[in-house]
Amino acid sequence: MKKQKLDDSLSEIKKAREYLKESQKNLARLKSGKGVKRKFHFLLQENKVLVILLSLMLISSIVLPVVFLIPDPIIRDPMQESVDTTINLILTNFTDGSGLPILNETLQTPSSELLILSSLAYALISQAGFEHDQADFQSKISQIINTLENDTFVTYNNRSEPLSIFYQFLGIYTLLQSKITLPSSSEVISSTMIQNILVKTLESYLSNERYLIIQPISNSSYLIDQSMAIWVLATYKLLTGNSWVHGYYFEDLIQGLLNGVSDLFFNSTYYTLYHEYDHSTNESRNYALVEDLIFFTVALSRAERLSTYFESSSSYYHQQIINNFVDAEWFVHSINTSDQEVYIKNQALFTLISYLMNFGNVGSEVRNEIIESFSMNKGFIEKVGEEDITCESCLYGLVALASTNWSVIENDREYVNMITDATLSPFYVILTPIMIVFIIKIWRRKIVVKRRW
Amino acid sequence: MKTVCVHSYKGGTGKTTFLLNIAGILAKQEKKVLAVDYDLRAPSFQSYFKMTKQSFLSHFLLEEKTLGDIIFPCKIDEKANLDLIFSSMEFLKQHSKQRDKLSRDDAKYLARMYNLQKNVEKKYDFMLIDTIPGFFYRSIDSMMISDIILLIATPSTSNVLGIEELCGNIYTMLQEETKMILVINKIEEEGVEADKEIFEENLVKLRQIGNNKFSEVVEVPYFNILSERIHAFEDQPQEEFLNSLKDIIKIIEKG
Repeated sequence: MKKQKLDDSLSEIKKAREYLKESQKNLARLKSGKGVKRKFHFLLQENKVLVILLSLMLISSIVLPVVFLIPDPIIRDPMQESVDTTINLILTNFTDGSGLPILNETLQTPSSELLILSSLAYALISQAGFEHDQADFQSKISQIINTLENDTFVTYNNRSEPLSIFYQFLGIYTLLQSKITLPSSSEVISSTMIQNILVKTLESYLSNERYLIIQPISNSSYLIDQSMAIWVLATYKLLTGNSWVHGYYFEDLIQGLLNGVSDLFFNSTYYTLYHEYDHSTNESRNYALVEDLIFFTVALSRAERLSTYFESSSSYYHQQIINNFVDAEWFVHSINTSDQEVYIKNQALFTLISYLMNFGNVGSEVRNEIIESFSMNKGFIEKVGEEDITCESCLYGLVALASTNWSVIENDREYVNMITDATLSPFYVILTPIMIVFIIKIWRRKIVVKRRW
Repeated sequence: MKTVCVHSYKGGTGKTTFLLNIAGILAKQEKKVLAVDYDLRAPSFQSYFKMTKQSFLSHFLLEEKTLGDIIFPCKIDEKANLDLIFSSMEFLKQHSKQRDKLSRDDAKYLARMYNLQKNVEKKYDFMLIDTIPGFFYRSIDSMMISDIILLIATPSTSNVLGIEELCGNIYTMLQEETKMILVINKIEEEGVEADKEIFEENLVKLRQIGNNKFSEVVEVPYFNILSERIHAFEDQPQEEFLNSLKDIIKIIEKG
């Protein structure tokens, strides 16, 4: 009773204070010659029906013309516009007579690297759901893949020198993404084709002695090559669900490469990574640049989805990139934050891996910087402070724009074959009845205890 | 014109007696005074004066009658005049719809009171408003338009606690633009006489509150509030009581 009285009194005081505050404002209005502000609920109490009718009439008079007379405003997504203008620019300025992308007017023969990057960018844009003629995308991708297939990646016909190991693996990654993008009826890319190229690549570059990716004629191994190989192998396993490829067990293969990185590229004192390993001198050389770290981080993040181990986590290296290479305005620098040259390539790749690793907040900041600082009226520039728009810079711009939506789709696809689902399912079968028995026992025990009381 | 509102935390503190006695003294001093009975919950001007027609403040607030209809002149002697605005309990009891309207959270009544004040400000030297005790929308309205608030308190425990609460919540919000005067009416409540200790203790507390939170503190001697007399109009007034009221008037005139 006392409490009720106290509550009532407190509520009265609160009301009085509020009324007093309102009255102070009202008095000021009165003194300045204006009328008082009256509360609507009083009017409602007084003339409920009238006020409701008037309100309905007022709302109808505003809503009805809007609904029936005024056409829906066309609101264009600025990212969609950016995608459209960039693709148009590529088609008008960076496409040869046969419709393939070219670097510039003087270099009319399309390079395999550019074809791979184009195909990847189109595949990601298409999967990200931007409005575009999907058939057009698919025909472009098909055309690019056909051209690449003639080159056959390893046994090159139209090239004076082979593709780098990095592009070899990026090509396989592009094939995986392109296969997903093209309709299932398309015969341009078959699973067998991708598998054969992967096996051929591994046979050519995987050192069986050290479980390391190495160019046979070179004395050096590079972190970026190991990273790209790990990323491709993990993605292949996650997307196809295959455990074996031509006698290689995927997880052993990936773990072997991670061990190789740990032995030759990893500084266990500072948890830092090296750029290169010289086999002739058995020395690790130069600290990893942002590009090395970006690819290693994404590779490790995919490998973590399988049963593999590395000394530190992918999120640790993601944070290291932010600490050492990303400045306060979210520009991604190549060597360190004092390096003045900021390229769209690093900015786009870091956007892509941040979204793929579910660091959407970082991804959006880095991507926004691309939109703000690299986006021109029609396409994207190469470098902050300069005005060079190239085919590559436009393709990286497209990759960055696609990252937001594409990464969600890709993560869902990969999740299907993750270690938790695939490997642990037998454990769940055994564990579930044990848990049920355990819960029943506890429940019955509680009842006994209750009865005693 | 100075607008003075007489307020209290609870009823029975002698609020109306104070107000009308102050009005009486001022009228005797040939000041032009309008006394307004805004205690809509327990209006009591009619206990002191006889009404000649049924026109009340509530009529004006509800825009049913004009200001001229509700002001009643009261001639005290050749030179002294006191104008009055009445309220009626009987009228409000019979007109429950009007009573409900007047008790609502509605700024319209503040505007009406402000309108009343503006209309009479050139005609009178003082407008004295008797308010509803405690926290009510209409008592806040009267406090809002006043230059001076006289808070009448007796040394009872509930009054001390209530005034502390009023100080903490309401008066502090008004202090910037309004002069606050605490009037301690040293009335001894029935049955409390025996407990002198509590009376003294409460008196000390009231003085402390007054010194800390109010611009002025005035103590008036015990007098019988039920007598319903206006001493300034009598041939043999209680001089001690009148003198204490004159002190308050000096503060009002100064403030």
